Amino acid sequence: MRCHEAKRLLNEGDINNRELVKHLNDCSDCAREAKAAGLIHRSLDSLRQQDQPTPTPFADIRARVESHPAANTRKESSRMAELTHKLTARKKLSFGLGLAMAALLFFTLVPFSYDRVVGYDLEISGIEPGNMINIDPVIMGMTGLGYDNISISTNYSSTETSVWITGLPHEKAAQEASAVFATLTGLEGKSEYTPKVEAVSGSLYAQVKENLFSVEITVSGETPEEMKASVEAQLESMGMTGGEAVVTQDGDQMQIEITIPGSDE
Amino acid sequence: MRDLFWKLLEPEHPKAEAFCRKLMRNREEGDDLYQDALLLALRNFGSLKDHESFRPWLYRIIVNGYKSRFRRPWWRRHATLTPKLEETRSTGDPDGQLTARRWLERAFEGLTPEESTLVTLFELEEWNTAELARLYRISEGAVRARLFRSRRKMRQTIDRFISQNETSNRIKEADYALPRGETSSE
Repeated sequence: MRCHEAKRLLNEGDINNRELVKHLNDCSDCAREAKAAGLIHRSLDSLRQQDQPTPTPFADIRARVESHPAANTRKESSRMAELTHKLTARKKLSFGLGLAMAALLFFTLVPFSYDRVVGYDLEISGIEPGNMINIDPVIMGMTGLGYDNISISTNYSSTETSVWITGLPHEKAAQEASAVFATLTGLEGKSEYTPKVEAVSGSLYAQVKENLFSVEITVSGETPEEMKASVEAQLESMGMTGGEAVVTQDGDQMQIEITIPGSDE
Repeated sequence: MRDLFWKLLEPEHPKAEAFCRKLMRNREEGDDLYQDALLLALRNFGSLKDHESFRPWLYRIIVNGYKSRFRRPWWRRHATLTPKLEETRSTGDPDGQLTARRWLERAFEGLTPEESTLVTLFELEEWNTAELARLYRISEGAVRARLFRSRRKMRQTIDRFISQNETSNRIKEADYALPRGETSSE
């Protein structure tokens, strides 16, 4: 028999087990614990057999409690005291609330490093070489569309001309810049836009918040078609090209479903 | 409402009072604990919806009152919880009951107040695991696990005490002289 098994039998009070007795002869640790178990066992037996002291007469205890000043006043307890009492009494609930609080603090306070798209760069390559490109109309055209902070650089070589437009706030701006360039210069090339990524530090909450967007919908006085157009215009203004809104009306109920390319929602 | 409280308490009174005395290991302190528990129970009786649960509800108040007596600042926790232990050393103890109590007090020193109440109810008040599960609002399996841990802690406390004192030769053989139960191994 192993010590583990011997201690289990001691715990269950099976102290006359033959295997256990044999083990106790060979193992001084378990023998000492058995001695302790025997002492406790006999002490408990002795106290069980002890005569119970006479209880206080019921009428006496009733009179004593009833005449106590505290028996006639209900303890004033604040909401906080009640809450503390309930939480103390329900350990699982307190543990759950503590865990939720810790998770909330972790979610809102602990910073993590993550990448954030801060804009787009557009490269138009493969333009026929030879002519100098006048970029002023392109800058004016983009400014007219509300993009004030763009910058344009050009690279001329013997085989091709390339143009870089930077400072574009979102993907839609890059698409518009490509179209504006082709229209105003009459030159064609291969457009490629790449996101500009920056490493930032922030909480998980901040990360989620950055990816949230809001769409305002006016329900009263607008037809479903007007609402659809309004939502799609807002999505486009936020750079979500190809975003689609489906507005369906069934009696008083109206349902709006918004689909954004590249998203499952 | 008050009459109903006293009516429900009357059959529980002798055992509940005895339980308090056993918990505090002292008649006066036990009676204080019992009176405080009754005052609290009487004031809050209105909140007890199910009168069938009066017994576990009352004992829960007693157990909580007992635990709160040991909730004290850390700098006072090292103080002996049972100073009357030593007082019994010099007195005669023909039936070994004082010695038995002394050993149990030592064994209980290794337990938390919650474990003390559990062992007292199970071993001395003869509550079964189902009743204890209802009292502590835990499963019967959890009650058995707590009892297992408590018994192990008690054995280890006594074992440590015996080892220390046998080494320093402070315990006499007479100190082990307890009345022998029928199931004793020795």
